[in-house]
Amino acid sequence: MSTLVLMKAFESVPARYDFGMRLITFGEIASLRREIADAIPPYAKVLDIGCGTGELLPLLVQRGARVTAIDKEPLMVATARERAVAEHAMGDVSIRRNTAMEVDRLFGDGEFDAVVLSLVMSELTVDERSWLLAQCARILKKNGFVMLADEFQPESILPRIAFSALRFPAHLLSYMYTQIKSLTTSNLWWRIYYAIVELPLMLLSFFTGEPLTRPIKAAELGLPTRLKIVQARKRWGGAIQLLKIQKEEPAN
Amino acid sequence: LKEFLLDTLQLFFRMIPHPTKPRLITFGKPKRTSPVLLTVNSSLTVRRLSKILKGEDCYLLVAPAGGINVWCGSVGGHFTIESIISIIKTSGIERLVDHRRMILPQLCAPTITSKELNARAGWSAQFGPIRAEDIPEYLRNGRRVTTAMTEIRYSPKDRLEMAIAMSGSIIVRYSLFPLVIFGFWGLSRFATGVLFSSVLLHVFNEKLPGSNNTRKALSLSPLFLLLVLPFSWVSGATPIWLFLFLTMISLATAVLAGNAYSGYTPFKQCGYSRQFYGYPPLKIDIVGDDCTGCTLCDWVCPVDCFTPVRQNEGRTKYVMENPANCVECGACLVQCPTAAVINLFEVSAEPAQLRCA
Repeated sequence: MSTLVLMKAFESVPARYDFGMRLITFGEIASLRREIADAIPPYAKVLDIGCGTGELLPLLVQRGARVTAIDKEPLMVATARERAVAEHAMGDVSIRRNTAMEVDRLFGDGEFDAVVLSLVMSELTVDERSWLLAQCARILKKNGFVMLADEFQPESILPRIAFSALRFPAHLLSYMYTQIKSLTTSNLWWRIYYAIVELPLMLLSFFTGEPLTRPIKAAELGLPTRLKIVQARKRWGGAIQLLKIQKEEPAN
Repeated sequence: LKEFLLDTLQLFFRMIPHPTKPRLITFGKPKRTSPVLLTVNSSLTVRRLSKILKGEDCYLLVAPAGGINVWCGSVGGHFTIESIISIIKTSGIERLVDHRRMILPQLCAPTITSKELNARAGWSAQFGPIRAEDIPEYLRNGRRVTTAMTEIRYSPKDRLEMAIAMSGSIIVRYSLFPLVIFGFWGLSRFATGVLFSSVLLHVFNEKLPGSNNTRKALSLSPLFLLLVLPFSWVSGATPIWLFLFLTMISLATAVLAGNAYSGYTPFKQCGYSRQFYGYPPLKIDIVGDDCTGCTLCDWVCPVDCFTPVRQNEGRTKYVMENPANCVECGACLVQCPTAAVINLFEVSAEPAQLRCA
């Protein structure tokens, strides 16, 4: 047992998660949530996949929605539950600890009016994304829709370079910060020792390891035939996008 | 040759992740009843396993686990049940085989239980051998593991590999110091010294004098001095200073190698886990009344800890026979179906959820 095992950056600790999400959306996260909530029709049945700390849940409940939320991190689920209780929203919300890859076993056909994918697709692999979208098509009711808010790779070349350059230091800093913060030792000297001695290893691991998020390439989204993008709102030159993807029944 | 170089490079940089694409690999001409094996997406692991499985008819699932090896990944919280669920869904394996049984590497037992996998994905899991070389024999024997397959062996080849991995981690971490103090002259001596003491310490550990690993490593430094002195002559340098610098470097490399040694063997927990990541100490015991004699703890234990004891009415129970062998991986604790295996340190958190290795 000798590998330096790296902390998973944002997902594991709720307080840092909120900060990280603000960072990677360039501060747009609050208005994205507002827009998602506004798109939900009243009294709809909504599935929030990857609810995180559950900041969207009270907004959805205010719209009168009945919400099912899932997240894979136990700490996130606990935080989301606390938040829902504090906002008196628990009556209409059920929060479960499951991954996005379990929706095929958890939910039946045509169960939901809307599915929310808020900053979750960029943490999945390309294969997982297309699998999840196919499942969304299955669990949505007729004319139901997916609200997808995430990091995208801008299509034109200049913004793409600019945003890679912007994201890089943000990712690197949050990665290093999490590494140091994750130490449970309270001894200051050990922390300083770790910061100096492990620095080359941390840098190497950051470059060879898997990235924290992979901004979505629109061409690789892998939409199943039943789903159509009906609305796309782009911000920051297409680096942050909010898509409304509608389920359309075949004509016959 | 290219593969050999890549292997050595990844071995040298073993402590940083080397991810490959999570995918399904098909070997031979598998049928609908062929075995399904699973491993992590560490590039070195997948390459070695592919070489061994070349002659078999089977499927290999490469699960997304951050590019870290099986043992470190599973104890450190990267190789989890979610990794397996993800690859089951995205690989489409359920369309290719009729059964729902997969063979897992035994060293992932600290995190993954067949019970949870069955509840969350509908697959049952069986732990295969520890070493990849044993897989062909295991498959031929009707998927039955022998005692030798479930216990760690530390062969000379493994020792050499771990020595390279250990020297890699020390050189990457500490070479800034000799570089700043002595320049490139010191850096090259430092790297040689680390490699020298790591290899000798791993290969001849039992034969070296000294009561602990640091002393064993220090006993090697005169030999290192003797070997490098002829090559270290710099024209115009005072011999006494040269000798002093080399002595400093050789002592430093010996101390670093000696301290790191036990964490790079399969018989000790890595030093970081407790010091930095708060991994709880484990002192395993079995509550005799709760033990049903199911053999699972003995099976998943990578070292020789448990022994069956015959009871009345032909029943068998397991006892903790050799606590000194325990590597504190927590596999028995997680796997025991009746919670008869307990931690005497009374730490309530599950080891699988703490992030360390």
